[in-house]
Amino acid sequence: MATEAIARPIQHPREYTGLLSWLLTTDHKKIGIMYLIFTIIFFFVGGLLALLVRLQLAWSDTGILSQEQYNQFFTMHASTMLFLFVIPVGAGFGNYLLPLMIGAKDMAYPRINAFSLWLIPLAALVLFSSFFVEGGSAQAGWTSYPPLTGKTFLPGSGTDLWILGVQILGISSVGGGINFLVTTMTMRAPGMSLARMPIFVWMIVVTSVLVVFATPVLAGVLTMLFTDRFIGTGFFDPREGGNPILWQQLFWFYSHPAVYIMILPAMGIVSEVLPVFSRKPLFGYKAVIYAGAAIGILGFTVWMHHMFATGLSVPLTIWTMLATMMIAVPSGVKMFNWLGTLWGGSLIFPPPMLFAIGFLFMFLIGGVDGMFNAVVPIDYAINDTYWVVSHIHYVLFGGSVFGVFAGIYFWFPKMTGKFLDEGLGRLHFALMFIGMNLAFMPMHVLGLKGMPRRIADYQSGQGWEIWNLIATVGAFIIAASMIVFVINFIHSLRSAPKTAGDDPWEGNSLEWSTSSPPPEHNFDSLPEIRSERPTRDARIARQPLAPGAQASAEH
Amino acid sequence: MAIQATATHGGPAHQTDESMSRGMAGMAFFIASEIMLFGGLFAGYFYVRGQASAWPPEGVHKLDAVTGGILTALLLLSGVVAHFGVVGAKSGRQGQFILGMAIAMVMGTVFIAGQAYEWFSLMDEGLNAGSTVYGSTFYVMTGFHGAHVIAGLLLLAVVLVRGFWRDFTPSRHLFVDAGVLYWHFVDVVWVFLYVILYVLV
Repeated sequence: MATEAIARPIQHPREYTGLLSWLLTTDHKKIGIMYLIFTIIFFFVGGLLALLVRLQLAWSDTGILSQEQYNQFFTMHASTMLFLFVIPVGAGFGNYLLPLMIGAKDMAYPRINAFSLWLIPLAALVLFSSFFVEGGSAQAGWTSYPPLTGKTFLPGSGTDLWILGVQILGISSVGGGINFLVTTMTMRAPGMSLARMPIFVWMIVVTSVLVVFATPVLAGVLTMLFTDRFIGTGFFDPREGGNPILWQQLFWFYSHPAVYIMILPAMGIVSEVLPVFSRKPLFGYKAVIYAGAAIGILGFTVWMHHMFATGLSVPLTIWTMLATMMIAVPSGVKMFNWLGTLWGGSLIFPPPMLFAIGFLFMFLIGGVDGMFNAVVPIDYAINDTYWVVSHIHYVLFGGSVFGVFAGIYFWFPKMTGKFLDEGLGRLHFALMFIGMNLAFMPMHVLGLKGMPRRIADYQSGQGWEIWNLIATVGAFIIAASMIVFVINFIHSLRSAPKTAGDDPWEGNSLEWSTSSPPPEHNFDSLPEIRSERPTRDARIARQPLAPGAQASAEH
Repeated sequence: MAIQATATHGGPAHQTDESMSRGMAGMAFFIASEIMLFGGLFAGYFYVRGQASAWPPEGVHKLDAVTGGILTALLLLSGVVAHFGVVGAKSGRQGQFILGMAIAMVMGTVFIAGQAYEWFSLMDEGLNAGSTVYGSTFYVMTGFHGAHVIAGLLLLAVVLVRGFWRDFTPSRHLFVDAGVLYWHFVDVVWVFLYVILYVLV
């Protein structure tokens, strides 16, 4: 009958050293660090583009950029920030932390992990090469609406390179999403039940569900735009029975969940940082998870709020308005839970805590901004004005970016064994906080005064100049804060002593139960996991009892 | 009470208590993402068809349900044959397994050839990608599907080659299961395409 075939012997990978060990690695920690390095570099590139945009707009008729240049720069600023920074940086933190936090030794698919990583610099090459082709880069906004993006109005290959670059990033993203979900499902250490996972892990799970289910729709609609441009299909051409609104429907079906993909990892980071520096557990652990899941689910139903001005039917408009307003509820739940975590805590304010608290203020403002847009009659007045620019930057910069830097200052010691300089960190925070508010608070005023988005220049005498000037100053203060950060980063990496140890912050989750940096297999041994704060439990258990105190079986 | 460190994390085969294996979970999520890809395309199809006064629009050559039907039968049959191969792998019958995979691949290849033939005949009849959204949706959707059939054929080829190398046993053949699951998925997508694009017109 059937005999058991002899399996081929397992082949052990060669050990590499130096640069090759990084280029060929499948170790999630190295991959995570490379994700972070790439995405922060692209953050700076996007920031440079923003500075050019802000210089042009600092006053009326500055003449610094031509209209074509301006259109290219604001388009590529957004495309770079969203697709090359904000979305993949969450995957970067997820890559480094998720296996550690669940007590696993790597991701479920290490080679697909590496593949997802290296698609990112490839996509960046494709996207940035578009600056050098005839006609320049994509220049119709990151939202790329046809018919402007059809061959008739934008015949140059910049738009095609944009399509290709975004497609490549979509593939990278979905690969990562599948990896995170399977890893979390199948590789948790004994005792690490779902209800004991760190909130950051939960947020990556919800994010990954959004990635896996929403991103493919973008792939489809990008292909439609490509075929419209190249083989004469008519998806967006009314003369062929198509409709430009179809682009908007399918594009926003992805791009609205995408904004939750952009914010949820940062919310996860904040949910890890606040309890540690409040010396208290996160208030309402389960509520925060349910709120995250609710945001994810509701987030799939509201994409048409980006299309209120397109003549949607009344029932669709009303549903969308109500559902959009409803998303404020789980967001508010999280906000109150974070505040509840701080309340009554023994607070200390190292840089990660500063950025996390900054996140709370800024995301709150951005969220409230969005509520105005949710109300349809108000949206008719403020959509496509600088009000929206203010909203998106408060949630994306004040939210995601502050969350990212909270994470960098928090986990840099784990990754390197060294601390980032605290004084420079505080300076970075102060400059970034001030710069950010100077840059984006005036945009509320500009929006209400009617300044439209995406204009290369504006007439004087409308009362817009002063606010634009303040915004530009703010943008440069942000840039200064980034210089402080880069100096801190390079100096600390090279010269700081390795004083962090395993658990410099007295953390809660499992990554603090191993060395800094961790060994390749992550854990030599795991503490017993009996709650959502296993490292803390083990730390408390190791503390000597006070004289006369009884040993307790439970704490 | 001191809490002792417990056992180290297990090796590659260690898993927590879930029913689906790691590889199958990955294939399931991947197929979910592909369902969303085709879902978006179908949504686009219904959108433009919904706003058309006639389908196909005036003067556009209509798709032939008979040709499509032959392609459908071919693909469905290949799924049956592939399943026959999986049963062979499960019970250790190498011959049945190899035969099943190989014939499924041949049928899949004939499907692609048939699809290409249909495309060229339609273009001769004047239906091309630019023939209103009727043509656009047909070529883009069947094109996407064809690309996925080719991907499925590559996957089956790897299954076949690894089968020759005797990589699989009756208790260890996840790759076969996952590969054939993908093939079935590609099959099911075609059924939807056939019914919606060719039949319900």
